[in-house]
Amino acid sequence: MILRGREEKKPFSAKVDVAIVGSGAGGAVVAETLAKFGLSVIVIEEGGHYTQPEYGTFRPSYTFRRMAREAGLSAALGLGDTPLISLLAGKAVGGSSILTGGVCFRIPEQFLMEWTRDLHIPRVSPEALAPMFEEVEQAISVETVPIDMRSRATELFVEGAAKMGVKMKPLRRNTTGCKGAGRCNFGCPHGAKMSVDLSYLPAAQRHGTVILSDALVDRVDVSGGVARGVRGRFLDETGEPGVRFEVRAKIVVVACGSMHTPVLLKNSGLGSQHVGRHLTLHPAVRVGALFDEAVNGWDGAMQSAFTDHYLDEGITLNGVYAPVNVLAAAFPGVGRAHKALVHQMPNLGFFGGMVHDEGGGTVRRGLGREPVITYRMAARDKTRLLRSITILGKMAFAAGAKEVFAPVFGLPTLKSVAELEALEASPPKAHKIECLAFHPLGSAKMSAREDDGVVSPTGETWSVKNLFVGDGSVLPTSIGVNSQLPIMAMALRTAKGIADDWKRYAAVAR
Amino acid sequence: MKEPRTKDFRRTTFGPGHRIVLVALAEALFSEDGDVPAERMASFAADVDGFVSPASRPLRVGLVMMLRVIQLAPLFLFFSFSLFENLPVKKRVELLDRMDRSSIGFVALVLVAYRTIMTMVFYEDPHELSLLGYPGDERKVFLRFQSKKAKASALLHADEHEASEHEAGEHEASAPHTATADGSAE
Repeated sequence: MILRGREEKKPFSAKVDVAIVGSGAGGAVVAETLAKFGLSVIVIEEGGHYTQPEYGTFRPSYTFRRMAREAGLSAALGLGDTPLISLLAGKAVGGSSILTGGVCFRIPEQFLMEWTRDLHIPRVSPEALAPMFEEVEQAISVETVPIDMRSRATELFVEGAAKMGVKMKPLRRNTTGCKGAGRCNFGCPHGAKMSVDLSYLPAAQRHGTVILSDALVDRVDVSGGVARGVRGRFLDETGEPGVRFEVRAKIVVVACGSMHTPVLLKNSGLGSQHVGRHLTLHPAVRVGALFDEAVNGWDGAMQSAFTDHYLDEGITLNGVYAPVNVLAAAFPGVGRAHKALVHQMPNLGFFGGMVHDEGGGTVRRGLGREPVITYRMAARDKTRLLRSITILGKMAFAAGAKEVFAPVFGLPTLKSVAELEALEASPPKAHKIECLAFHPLGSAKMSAREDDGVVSPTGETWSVKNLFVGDGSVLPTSIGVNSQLPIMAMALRTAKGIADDWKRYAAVAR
Repeated sequence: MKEPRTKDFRRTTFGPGHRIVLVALAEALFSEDGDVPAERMASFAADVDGFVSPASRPLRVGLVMMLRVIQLAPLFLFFSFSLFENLPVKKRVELLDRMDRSSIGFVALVLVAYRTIMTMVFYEDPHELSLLGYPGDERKVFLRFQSKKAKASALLHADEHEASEHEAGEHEASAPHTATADGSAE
């Protein structure tokens, strides 16, 4: 059952076993697992509820204005020599899983070994997490993107990479029956991407889970050091908080994402110095290439190839695309010059580079409901970003591109490898780099010792009993790959732990 | 694409004064040659308002302030006592170009913020998309993939059929007088 908060006119209250704040990749997995275990579950989502047939027809800007935080205009403010980093996060039933490209990677073994050996976190070894990954992969239909579904634009980047001795591999995504519409990250128009609104949440609902949409949780109620439930207000049609609601619960799971979980924890009185710190983003750049032939980047799977060739340098390269108006929005120039570039769209291909970052981000409470996010980029990571641009530019030229669009504001297109190398040799100021991030992680990190993080290895906060964090904020370090599947596997691990120990948690709640 | 029932937040960000600047900005960004009809520009400003209005109050206030910066930019970039919307289109383009290339981070950011928002809204108009060569929902790669898959599947079935016929033939050859279900001899 889904209750739409904006249609609720009277105060609402409920009493359940588990209250989950957030319906994205983490919250949905926890909901389904615990509902299947036989617990009464309520999922509380700040965003609205849109069915796939509805959002499948939205134009991109409508997806942003209805389903993304800050209408898609969220950003991390750069401190020091750091670019402004554009952040995309979902705000709807299904959360960011509706706005991903669907790319699924397991957490690379090198990071899991680091968590196990250096950070001493139990049950996160590759062997321990493998069953979690397998279960989630099956539930969301993770499959390899067929080579034949690559767009011509991606094929050219793959050819360019091959000429440089770099092997591209097919990506895996959570799709079934992809028709190559090339706009997965704005809500699949065909319902082929198995985001959690089409996979985990319906399964949770079949086991009795209730979903509250348009419901903003103000704080978690804590008494005697134990979480007792949540309270908040429904958002009316102007988006402003109105009618109050209250949910009493034996366990509260916060899964609002790394940008909002710390805000809710702070609003609920959690005083750990680590809440909101250590935010990693995977800063990313997108490089465009102009070819003589029409490459129609929109025609094919939006993301279909990647290379981990540069993983030792902290760089992952992924095929990317986006609706053409969204791509056009990042083009340089104004007036006739801008228009001329936009009108070359059929001949433009794009590829992305993503950096495994050190994590210089902080989430703070802002003046309104949205947090203020700051990020201080390590010099190493800025170098990696520029290196990504150079590598991708070289791939494009190797594939026959005649011009390369480097993501540097005010920079004309580059016409040769020499110009690319000159850019890397005398790098622009960071604020000139057009930088994006889609994977905020680590702002309520897991630790083996109370002094080192916000949650224990079970996912329960160190300072409040029966309060869990079930999203990407628990990841102790950056992982260098797309985060949807890792978040879901870690959430499944937490949910299974809750189920295994339910009697103890229920006793604490009494 | 058709728009289903709207659930946009019912609030606005830009007043009539702001919308004049938005239209002037849109003319400079997309209609330097005056090729976009004036009525489209007016409705476009309303659409930009609809786009930013679901954002939080601090962000909306920030955007309004940025628009004021653009409005007053002729003063500090051209030393001209003229508001942005009062400049001829050519001058506006020149001013925005200077902002784009400015070494002062904030000045460039103001231009980038508005160019990003307005370009996204402007080029999702179906007419503009068709002018770019965007074919709408048509996807040739998928159709090719599907037909290739169908051919492969047909070949596989043909092979299986051939194999089973071959097997049956061998079976018949080795046992030509098998009994049918009803016990009669073939």
